[in-house]
Amino acid sequence: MTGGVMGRVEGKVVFVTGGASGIGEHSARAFLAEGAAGVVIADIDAARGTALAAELGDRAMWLRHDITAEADWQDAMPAVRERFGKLDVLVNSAGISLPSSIEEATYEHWRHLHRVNADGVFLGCKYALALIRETSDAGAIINVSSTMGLRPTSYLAAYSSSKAAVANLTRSIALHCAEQGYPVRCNAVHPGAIRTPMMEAYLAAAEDPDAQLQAFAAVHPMQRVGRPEEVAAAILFLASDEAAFITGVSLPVDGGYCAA
Amino acid sequence: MSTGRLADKICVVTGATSGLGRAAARRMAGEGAIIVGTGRNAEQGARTVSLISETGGQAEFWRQDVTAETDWQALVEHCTTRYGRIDVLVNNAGGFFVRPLEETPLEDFQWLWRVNVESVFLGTRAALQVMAAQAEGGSIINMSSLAGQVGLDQASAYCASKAAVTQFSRAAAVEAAALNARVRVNSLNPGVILTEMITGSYGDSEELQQYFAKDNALKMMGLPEHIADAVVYLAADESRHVTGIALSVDGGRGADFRDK
Ligand SMILES: NC(=O)c1ccc[n+]([C@@H]2O[C@H](COP(=O)([O-])OP(=O)(O)OC[C@H]3O[C@@H](n4cnc5c(N)ncnc54)[C@H](O)[C@@H]3O)[C@@H](O)[C@H]2O)c1
Repeated sequence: MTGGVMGRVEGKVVFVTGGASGIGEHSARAFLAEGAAGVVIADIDAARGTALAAELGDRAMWLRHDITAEADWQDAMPAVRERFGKLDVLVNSAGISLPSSIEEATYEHWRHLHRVNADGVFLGCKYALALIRETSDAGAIINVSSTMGLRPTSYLAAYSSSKAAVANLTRSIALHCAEQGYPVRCNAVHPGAIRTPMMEAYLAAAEDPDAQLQAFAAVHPMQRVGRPEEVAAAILFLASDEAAFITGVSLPVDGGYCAA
Repeated sequence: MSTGRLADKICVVTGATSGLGRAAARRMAGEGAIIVGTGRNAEQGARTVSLISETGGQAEFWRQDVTAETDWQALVEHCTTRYGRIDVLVNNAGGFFVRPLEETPLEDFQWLWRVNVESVFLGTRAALQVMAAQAEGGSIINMSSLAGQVGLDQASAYCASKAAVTQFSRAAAVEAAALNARVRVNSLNPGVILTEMITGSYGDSEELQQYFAKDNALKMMGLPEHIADAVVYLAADESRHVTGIALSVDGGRGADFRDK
């Protein structure tokens, strides 16, 4: 927040899945910096999550939360209501990425990716919407899809499919909320390759990490990988009232990947 | 030194004499930008400048016909002489008419093509030359339209011209990134926004306003300020990884057919 000026998400309460790491972590930081009244850092990684919540202070709340467990969502919403009294924004950032072509992918692998990336987002939207529409007068859901959800690649068959599901679900939710007259918008962001712990795992697994990083950068017209802050800035914009007339969009943050 | 998300950026806004251009110029100035607002109507240009100065912002009016190549040369010369750079160009000026296709003379189609497409070509080319040579790069924002994605009744020339703007912007983004990865080109797709462009063609009745307010998912009248907020996001450094996108600000009007 710039010296005494109102923040861009002043007073909002935000629930961030995958909030312990990468894009989720940087979203949590951005929301607090712009005046959010509360940010729930929800994740299965308790070590990172508790440390981050402790660093971020009073307005941050740590919640051990598995997005694929319906019961966790059922427990989370009353906990948020009790702590902050309301919910305005859901950021679905938790997700996993594993490579597979259609020939390599086992059925188990396919189901695993869809269970986390698609089912997890479905459950989140379903349960959080109930609380947001009841307690917020300017609500927003932001789903973190991927460029792969718009422009798939051969070696990420299951991942690309799970992210396309997120993009399409986002639009359906946007239309539903509007039809019902709920003050809730729903949009997706589509990051290109972003340097987060998720990418570090790919780099660590590569024979030549530097060459792998170059290869990730090279497919983007900007010839670089993105930073999690850059995705967080797009999420913050879509969550803020600046985006009051924006719903059902796909916003790539991808150095031009989807344009080329 | 001013503060804000666009602090001290030199921002050229075409068609700053009314509607979206004026609203964008005002919001950008509110974020610390130095505005060079252009257009043909000096009286309305002066009005925009005084609206900005009244609230402590910095702006000047520069007379320009966006379809005239020599006017672009003069504008660039003015900006580089006076400020030494151009950080943001908003190609906002444009025209519109509704008329049955069979009654549309070729001259009218060509007029719209000049005002909506050739102007964007000339502006983007001129700004790109300046921005590619700047270490900090720059951001070019081209005003396309919902009409570039859906077919609007009796607006075939307009729809064609806006589809051209969207696609031109994608290609220019790819080319710009290769010259300087910090030069970005994006387009915006406003839905129906109540400005002089709309009221000039359809009239300005209460009935019509209600009709347009119902013609999007959110059932909301689109305002110039909604577009201005998106312009600020795309102009600011926070969107530095965003290029080649077409961002819809349309109350969800396009949510059910949109691809990327
Ligand atoms: N990094 C990239 O290049 C990139 C590109 C496109 C899209 N994305 C997407 O962005 C999102 C965030 O990715 P990131 O790069 O920040 O990754 P990350 O691995 O740094 O963070 C993801 C977080 O999600 C958590 N998580 C995983 N499964 C979970 C579950 N079942 N329940 C709760 N939390 C769970 C992890 O513990 C981790 O903290 C993901 O959905 C990812 O698919 C990332």
